[in-house]
Amino acid sequence: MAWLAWTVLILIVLFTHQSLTHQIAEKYGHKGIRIGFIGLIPIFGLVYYMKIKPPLRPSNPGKVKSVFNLKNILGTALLYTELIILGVIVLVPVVYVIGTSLNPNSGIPTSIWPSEPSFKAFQFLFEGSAMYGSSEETNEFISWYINTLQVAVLTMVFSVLFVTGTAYVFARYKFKGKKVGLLTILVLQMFPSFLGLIAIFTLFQTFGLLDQPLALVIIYTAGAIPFNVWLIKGYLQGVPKELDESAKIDGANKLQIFFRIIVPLSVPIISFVAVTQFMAPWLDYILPSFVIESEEKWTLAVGIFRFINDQSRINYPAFSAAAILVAVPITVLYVVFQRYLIEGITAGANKG
Amino acid sequence: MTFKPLILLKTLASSLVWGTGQFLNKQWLKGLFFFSFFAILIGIEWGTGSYGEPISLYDQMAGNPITVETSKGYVNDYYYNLLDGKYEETRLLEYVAELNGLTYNAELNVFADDSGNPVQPESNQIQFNENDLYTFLAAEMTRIDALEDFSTNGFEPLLEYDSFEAFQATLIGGLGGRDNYTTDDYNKMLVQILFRYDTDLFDRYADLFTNRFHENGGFFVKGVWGVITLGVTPSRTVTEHYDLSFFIPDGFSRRGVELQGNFSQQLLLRGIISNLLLIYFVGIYIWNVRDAYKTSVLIQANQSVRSEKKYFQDVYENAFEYIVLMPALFVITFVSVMPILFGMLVAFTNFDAQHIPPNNLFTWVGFENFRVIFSLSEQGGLPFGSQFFRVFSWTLIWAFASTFTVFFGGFVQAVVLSNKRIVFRKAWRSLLILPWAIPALISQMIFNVMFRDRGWVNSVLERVGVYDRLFEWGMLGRSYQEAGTGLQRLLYFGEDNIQWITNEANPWFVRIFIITLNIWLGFPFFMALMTGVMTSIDRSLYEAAEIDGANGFQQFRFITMPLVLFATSPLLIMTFAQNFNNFGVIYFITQGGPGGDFTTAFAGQTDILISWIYKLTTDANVRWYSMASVFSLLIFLIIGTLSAWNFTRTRAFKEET
Repeated sequence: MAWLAWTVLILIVLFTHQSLTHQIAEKYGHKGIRIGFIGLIPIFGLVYYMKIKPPLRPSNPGKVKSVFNLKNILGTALLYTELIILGVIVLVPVVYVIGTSLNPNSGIPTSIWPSEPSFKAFQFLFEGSAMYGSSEETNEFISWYINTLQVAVLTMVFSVLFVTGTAYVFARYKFKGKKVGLLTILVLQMFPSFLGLIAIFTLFQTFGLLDQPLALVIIYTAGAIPFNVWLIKGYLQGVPKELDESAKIDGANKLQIFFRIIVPLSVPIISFVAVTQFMAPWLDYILPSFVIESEEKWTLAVGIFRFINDQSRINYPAFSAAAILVAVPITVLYVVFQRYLIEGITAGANKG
Repeated sequence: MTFKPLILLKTLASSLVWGTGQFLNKQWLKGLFFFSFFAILIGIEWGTGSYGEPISLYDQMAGNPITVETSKGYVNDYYYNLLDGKYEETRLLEYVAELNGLTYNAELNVFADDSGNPVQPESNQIQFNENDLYTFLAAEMTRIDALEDFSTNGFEPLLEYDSFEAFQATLIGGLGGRDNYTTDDYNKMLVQILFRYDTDLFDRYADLFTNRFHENGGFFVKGVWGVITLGVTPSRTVTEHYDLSFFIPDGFSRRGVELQGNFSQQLLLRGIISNLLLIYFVGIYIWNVRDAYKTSVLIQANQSVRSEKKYFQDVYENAFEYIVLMPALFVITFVSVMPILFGMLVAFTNFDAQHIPPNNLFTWVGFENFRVIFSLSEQGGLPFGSQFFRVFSWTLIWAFASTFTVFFGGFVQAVVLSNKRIVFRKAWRSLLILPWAIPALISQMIFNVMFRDRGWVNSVLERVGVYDRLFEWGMLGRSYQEAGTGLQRLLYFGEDNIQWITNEANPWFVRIFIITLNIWLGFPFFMALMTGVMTSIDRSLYEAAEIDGANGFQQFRFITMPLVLFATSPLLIMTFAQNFNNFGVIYFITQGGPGGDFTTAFAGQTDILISWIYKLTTDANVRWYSMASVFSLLIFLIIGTLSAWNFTRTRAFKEET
């Protein structure tokens, strides 16, 4: 553990140095991302901007000195201490799960990184079986993956179909019952779909849909309507109405206006809905765990949780490996599109 | 001048048979339109029902029915066996002859008609069906002496027959040799014989199991009946035929014959669906009657009536919104609203572990479940009342605390990130946003693994010597029973290990831990949101403040903070509602534990309402659906009201009005 403390300390010093370099460089009128990188070179960075690189604009020596006053240095160091410790806390579970996935034994690991890393867990998932100790363990990871993918694609397609038309009507037309409809949608949106679990179970039972992953699509699609109608409606209200009206004068009917004007203009928000709907089935546990029994028909969320929860198939490395395989694409998507996603989430609460 | 009776007549015609009023108005197309809906409604009801068909008690039993073919085959076998001298009894054939208006000559073993011509048993002149077979066998039963004294102990009755085997052969006869009969079939046969013999018994069962609404009713009639009654007959297993089990041929055994009862939950569900569908039809019905009335009035007044083509065009133009909404409305009605309605209705029933159809039906109990909760009583020996308030207050504490910590955690971090001294701000932001980007489900499961009693976190803490300190201070090392009271208990971490998620003696330790852990999961969202707000604040505000001599802190205090909090506070209610129902954090990390057996009505120490509902619903050993529904209903009231109220305050809603 001592190595961790030292690393943190070194990082604090390094980043404080970088920040001080940056502050000085700015005082001399330098700009850009380059300063940050040069500032990461210990001592040289600081010296480079103070002595070597000619200043772009003269600066008051007093101001430059103020960078080096104790209060500023300590303040900077304190800021970075907080950031780095928080960064470590954020990263620990990530590193832990990577380390665990490389563990060759199925038990719970007690060190963050295995002494003999191997890709056995990944192999286990893709080949469907492996020897752990003297017993052979099996899994249906590939089936889970295919099931989830099918459900995800279908959910995405149907959600978009249902949501867009509904949102268009709500955004553009006034009709009897609109307000009641909007309020109903809003209240429904607050409901996790599993409050109706018994009913859904009985419904599936009555129609022979139990144990069929694709039946989940119905529930997911219906569940997606309220929130996303809300979202697209908000977006469409930002599209100028004059476009519709001029099309109407040119003789387009309501349906043509929808397909020729509204849909092309709302491609960004529709793709947002498509992406979020595609991701939803990967992360839902409750519904599939309740209505799907056979192992080869599970979705990923169910299968993964059983690796740590079901006494007969405990396998921590397999859990971690599967978690990584599911989480990496989604995480990357989220980080890249963070701005749009956050805007999307808040749209419902702010703009309505 | 108006003929009121004529208008009334047309309206009445439409209200009885849809569309006829329109026909009387000579609006053929419109009339056809409404009539087709009427036809669909009646068609569904008729097609899904079985009106006019007789109800047979035997349809509710397991086992194959005996068909006319097998009954005739039975006679044939019997006939030829008699010919071979295997049997001596001829009563069956005499009975068959009598039934068909023939005579039977036992000595020659032939059937003959009135004119004395022989008739082959296979011929069409001889009709013998299942019903006849059982009537005969039941009549044979009465010939056995002392039948009233039948016991289940394998007693053999005194027989008029030469031997018991001969009677058994009579009874089972040709059927015994058929391979395709199962134990269920033989038991069903015995029950049928018994019922012919003991008609009182039959009547009692028939009364229970041949309900007209349930057996004959179509989609709508059965639906309405189902919702009102929730089924009337639980499944029963007939065992009275055990008295006759010695007739069962070798290789088969006696077994109860199940009479299929009503499934209350399916009746309720179908009932809701058919009632919801009925609402759609009622809408069209009202439209139909009103149209008949209005058009009649117009015609009476000799005013011009819109042409039908024009009418439907107008309808399409005006109803465009509704037509587009139809599919979504349909899906929402049946997949979102219907289950919620179902759940709400179950709250007023006693659908629990002791009432699982079809063996035990559940039924309407009114506000009984609510009474149990609000009078702090028990139900089925489980203390739902007291536990509800414990879980509810923890849910509130959890929702407030987690919202508060996450909101301000995010705020503080956003402030730190916005500090000018930080280089590579975007990179830091992307790093810190990871907990939000990693699927919560996955990170929650990872935490569950990391913080187990013998998990990685504990092994690290032990290695770096934290354990030694804790043992020294007495926070570890004592058993549950010696956890102490007051502060000593609150500082009890566990026995041999720190029990992050299993500390039964000190649930507040687990609760506080989980609130803390939730910060990891929740702060990045608010951090990202608030840094976005901060960068969008107008720079000139700060410049103006600087000119007025405000220092950094004052700028933060009077510009940044109010603006950011103001812009993001609408999200607080949303986050509160989400946390109120934050199933994942509780279920995947602690599974509601520690604790949670029947002494606490299965509610663990960290269970919030929603995870408790999940347990009550999905755990095969618990299954207390009624209470789960009551809690769902209460959540609905709380969260629904809160969000509706929040919504009516938004600009978007005010714009609509």
